[in-house]
Amino acid sequence: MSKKLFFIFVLALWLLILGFGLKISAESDWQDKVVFCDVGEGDGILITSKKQKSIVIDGGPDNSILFCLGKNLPWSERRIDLLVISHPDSDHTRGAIEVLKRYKVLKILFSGALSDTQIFQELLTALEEEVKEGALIEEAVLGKTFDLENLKISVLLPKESFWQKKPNRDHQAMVVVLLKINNSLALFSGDLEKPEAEELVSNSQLPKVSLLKVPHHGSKNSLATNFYQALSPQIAVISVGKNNRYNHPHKEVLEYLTHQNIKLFRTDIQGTINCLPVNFSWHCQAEGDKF
Amino acid sequence: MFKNFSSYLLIIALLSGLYFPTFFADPISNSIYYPKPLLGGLGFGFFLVGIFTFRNLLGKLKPLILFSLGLLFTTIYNLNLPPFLEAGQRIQLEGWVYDSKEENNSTLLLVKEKELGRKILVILPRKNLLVGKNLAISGKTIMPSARFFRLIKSEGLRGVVLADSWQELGKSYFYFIFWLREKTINKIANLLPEPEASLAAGTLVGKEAIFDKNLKMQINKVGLSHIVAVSGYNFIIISNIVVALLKEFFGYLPSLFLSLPFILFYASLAGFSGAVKRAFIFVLLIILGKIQFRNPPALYLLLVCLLFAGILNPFMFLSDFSFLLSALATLGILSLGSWLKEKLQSSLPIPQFFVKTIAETFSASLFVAPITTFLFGQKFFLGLLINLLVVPLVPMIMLFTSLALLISLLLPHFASLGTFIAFPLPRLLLKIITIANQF
Repeated sequence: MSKKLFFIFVLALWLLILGFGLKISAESDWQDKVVFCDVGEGDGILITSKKQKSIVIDGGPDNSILFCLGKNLPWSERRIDLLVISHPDSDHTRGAIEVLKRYKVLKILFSGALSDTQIFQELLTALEEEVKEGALIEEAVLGKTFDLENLKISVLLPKESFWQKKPNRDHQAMVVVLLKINNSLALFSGDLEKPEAEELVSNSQLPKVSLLKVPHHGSKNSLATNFYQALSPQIAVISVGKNNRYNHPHKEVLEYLTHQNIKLFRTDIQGTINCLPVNFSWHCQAEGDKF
Repeated sequence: MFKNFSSYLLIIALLSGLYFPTFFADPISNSIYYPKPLLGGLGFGFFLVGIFTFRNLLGKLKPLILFSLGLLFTTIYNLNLPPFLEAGQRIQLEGWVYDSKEENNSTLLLVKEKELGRKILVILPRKNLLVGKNLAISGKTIMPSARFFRLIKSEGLRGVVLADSWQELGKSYFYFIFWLREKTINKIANLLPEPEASLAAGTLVGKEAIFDKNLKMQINKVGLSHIVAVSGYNFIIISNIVVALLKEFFGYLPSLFLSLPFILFYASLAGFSGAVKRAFIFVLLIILGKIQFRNPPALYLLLVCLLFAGILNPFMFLSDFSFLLSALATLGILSLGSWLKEKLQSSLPIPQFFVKTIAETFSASLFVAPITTFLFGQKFFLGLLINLLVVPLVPMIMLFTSLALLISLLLPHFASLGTFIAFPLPRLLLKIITIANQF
């Protein structure tokens, strides 16, 4: 009996030492990168930095993002510095709720716009729980910025406050954010549609970005040519599910991107896409391909 | 104390049978059914008596008569199950939720009806309902779609209801266990990243793993799907731990007896699904047999267990592959395994633990090989080798995940300590799976 207890104690101690050893080695896993997780038909993006900061933008339609986080965050990391929820559609929010349940999220950025959907009620419940655990909820509105060491996030949309208001159109209160990591810029456009995209172009000085998350999974309604012209991205990523019932991405969007010589990555074809910031630009590759 | 154990069992079975009302009416079809719990109780009682008075399959007639009686009663029980609910009827029912699954925008609830004891699949708009609660549900019966057929057969469901309204009526008697199961799974999910969390939860409480398709395929291909499900092996581990802790204070047999509530609690924690019930019954029979100061003929016990499970739900033989796999693996361990263990022990100078692991893993792998090769394209020798490496890890994963849970509950500020203890072994397991899949 005592021998067995001693054995268990030694094994536990060994595991503890092994765990600490693995943690120390895991800390070197932090790197500056943007990961477009293959979450099926939806968006789920992880941004990490060498300074041990992490941002998640949307969570996809199910819990697939958890595997992406498990793979791309150091294993002992149970904290997310900022969670951005672009809008409360289930293909962006369901996985975000799972992230809220599993990780300690320090700040949550969302528009606060009201919705009648079931998923919105579930999101509110999850947010309430997270606030009890000490999370801060920040309203997403033009001008708001977050400085996480070398990661800088600025909100470009919505322009006006939708806090506790119901938008007239479905995607009117879309949260669009600009990321600056070292000197490289990327724009995350959620399910931005043509009217809002055109409004964004006409009302503000959009910076040139080298990496763009194509709006609304490449739907036809999202194609605003002046939006692409203003941003002039070199690389575009479409986060979309294989054989999805909406036939995303639309042929016209694909043709336009090809015509503009924008290098295209698709999660339905290439799976998870990793992008590293390199000299004011980005270097993207499918997961599994070595940089 | 236990000399007349079989008589006590018969009395308990009869009393529990008589406790239930003698007949009842189905409010939907207005038919009167036989008292299923009474027949079921009697049937099970006779089964147990048959087993515990059994000495020689051909030698004595009495146990065979009892066994036949058990078979007869249980068959009547099965024949008298209410028919599958026809589609298009409005229905109101009360029952408790014994399992739930979230699927896109719906929640699928497995509800055990209060009045008739039928198991019904209820489909609701997505709702976070904790399993173990009592519900009043109103809705319409529907024709089940093909994706539910396997669930209907393996769970023995009597209908599918699309609910339009429901009301919580409080907690069932089992609520605490389901609450604890949910808490355990959530805590593991908070401690570990995916897929290590699913692997640990699957090993500890048989939580249906949420692995992505690729990993699921890899696990099946190397013959490790049994690792993430609760089987008889888990119950034996629990029983062994309890006996090891208590035998110095109470002696071996009383400790074995005292391990029964622990394995019952563990079975409840594991969700009491069909597979868990089968494993539980089998281990229960073995332990009760040992308490009787007898080594029960294990093959006979397996036969009884299979018969009992099959009579209650004959579809299991046809549709439930996990049932077939666990039956074949057990058969392999009991037949070839025991013989091989003796042979190896006399010829190889290695510790008993390794001899046991090698003999049992080899025989179980050999017996399930025809099915796993056909279903998952598993390579036999690779599966065998990987199982030999992985099987000894299972009790350690269970132990250290439990330890991590304990630390995070008692010392929440040191929860990360739990992560360090619980993480390495599931990660090692995943590494083995990944490497094995490269061959």
